[in-house]
Amino acid sequence: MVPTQEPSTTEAPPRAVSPQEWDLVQQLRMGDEAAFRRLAERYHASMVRLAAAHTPSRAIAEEVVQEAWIGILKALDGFEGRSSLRAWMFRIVANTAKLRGTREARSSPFSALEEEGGPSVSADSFRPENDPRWAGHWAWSSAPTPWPDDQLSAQQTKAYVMELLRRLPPRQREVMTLRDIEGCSAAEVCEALGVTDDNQRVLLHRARSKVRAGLVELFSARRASA
Amino acid sequence: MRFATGAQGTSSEAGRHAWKFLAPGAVAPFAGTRWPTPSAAGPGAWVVGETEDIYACRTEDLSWWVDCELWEVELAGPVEEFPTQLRGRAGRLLAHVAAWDGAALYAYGEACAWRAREWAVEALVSEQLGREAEVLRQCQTLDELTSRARAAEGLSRGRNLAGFLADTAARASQGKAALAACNAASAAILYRGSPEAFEAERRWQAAWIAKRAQLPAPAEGSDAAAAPLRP
Amino acid sequence: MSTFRPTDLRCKEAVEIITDYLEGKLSFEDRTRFEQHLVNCPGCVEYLRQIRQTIGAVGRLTEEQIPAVVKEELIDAFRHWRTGHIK
Repeated sequence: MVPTQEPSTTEAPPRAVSPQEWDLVQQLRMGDEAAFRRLAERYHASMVRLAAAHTPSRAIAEEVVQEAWIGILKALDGFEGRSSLRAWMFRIVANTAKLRGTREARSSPFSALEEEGGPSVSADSFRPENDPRWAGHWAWSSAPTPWPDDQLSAQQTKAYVMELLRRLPPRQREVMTLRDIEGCSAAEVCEALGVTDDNQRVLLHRARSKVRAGLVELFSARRASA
Repeated sequence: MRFATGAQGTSSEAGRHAWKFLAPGAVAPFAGTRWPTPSAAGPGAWVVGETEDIYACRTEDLSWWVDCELWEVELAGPVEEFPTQLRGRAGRLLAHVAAWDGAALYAYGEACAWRAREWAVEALVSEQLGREAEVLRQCQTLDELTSRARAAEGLSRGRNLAGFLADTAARASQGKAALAACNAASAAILYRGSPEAFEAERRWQAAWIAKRAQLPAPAEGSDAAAAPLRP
Repeated sequence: MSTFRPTDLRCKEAVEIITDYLEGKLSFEDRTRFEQHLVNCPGCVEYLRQIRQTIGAVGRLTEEQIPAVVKEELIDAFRHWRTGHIK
């Protein structure tokens, strides 16, 4: 089925939405309840995960998603397919979550922390600048050693990773959720979160470095107590 | 070594024969993907880079990319030349270089260690540390070399070269030949007193690899014979 | 005398550009420098592997149990919107 062309403004915008999702949008616009159910079910978990980056509890994240849906329906006529449908929807979810987060008086000391760069790995993991031969290289005891494969996919480790994600500053958690859990492209993240490509990469880098560091601690603690 | 800004090398026609180091099992060392290998039926299938281009070595580039397996490859173009590699749009494996095996890789690391010994010995002698130099000269094995060099390590040029030597020999004895070679090339900077010594040492190393793997000699003249300076 | 060459990458710098590398955002020269560092540095090879494993571990969190329950309030909201929307 070929999607109908939307009337263009000054120039035809590039169509980033897939034909299947464009059809779905048309069905929604015509009031197709089954189509709405399908869409809501497909994206429910993803939307809750994204909302959770800015809300203190899962229950509130679910409420945010309900609220976001009202916004999505109201804005549906304005969707031109310039981004993917999910990126467009995620944008509304993220904005709703942030507004709700502010109303819940969840303070944002994190935004200050997030801007604080800081190295991905603590400086004392590397040889000091006055080392005669290997300044800036891994210190002997800090060089990464392989993680235990069997533990990596274990249920307990998964729970720990979930906790590490939960503790990330909200913007880092958002980007990691969209990129590494939802599999969104960098372009979709820029659209959904209103950030530049460089921004999202920096946030992603910090998030991954932090979660990796958390896993290093986990595995070394387990070794120590084994 | 400098990269031209804009990094567009000079082009040549397609079908360029070159070399490529891979991890065991014909695995790409950084991406982890497996290359299709040649069989009795013919060369391995063509691999076209999706997000990345395909890279390969001229003989003189070998020391920058050393790994466990060495393959003769064909690069399809246009093929561009860069300071330490060739770049093409597609590549295929033609043949595995059997002479480059685990023993060869290990011997490479050893060769770098014995060479680094010569520098440490000479430098220690020049600092009136003849006794330390003689101890190193007497070493017959990598393990001896590692511990004796470690004992002589210090902050003077000669003693720092002993430290480099200990690092090189230790890595070589652990089979970490690439790292040992890199240590030795770093030591060369200190020994010769200029950063250019690193590239020069890489050329020596490439010539050593080419000779051991029984490849045609590198295009540029190498600094020294490719034979290791063993006792 | 320092043996650090300006074209060398040290481990401390390598870990900072790892995301740029994985995203394909490094210039050709920087990417070459990074990969040449990996040839010689088992520590950074392992670090790269761990970042990839981290991405994999986070990716598996989709299996977390968020039931795809569409509440009746939401369907009601859709019907309400539809009434106003379809003329």
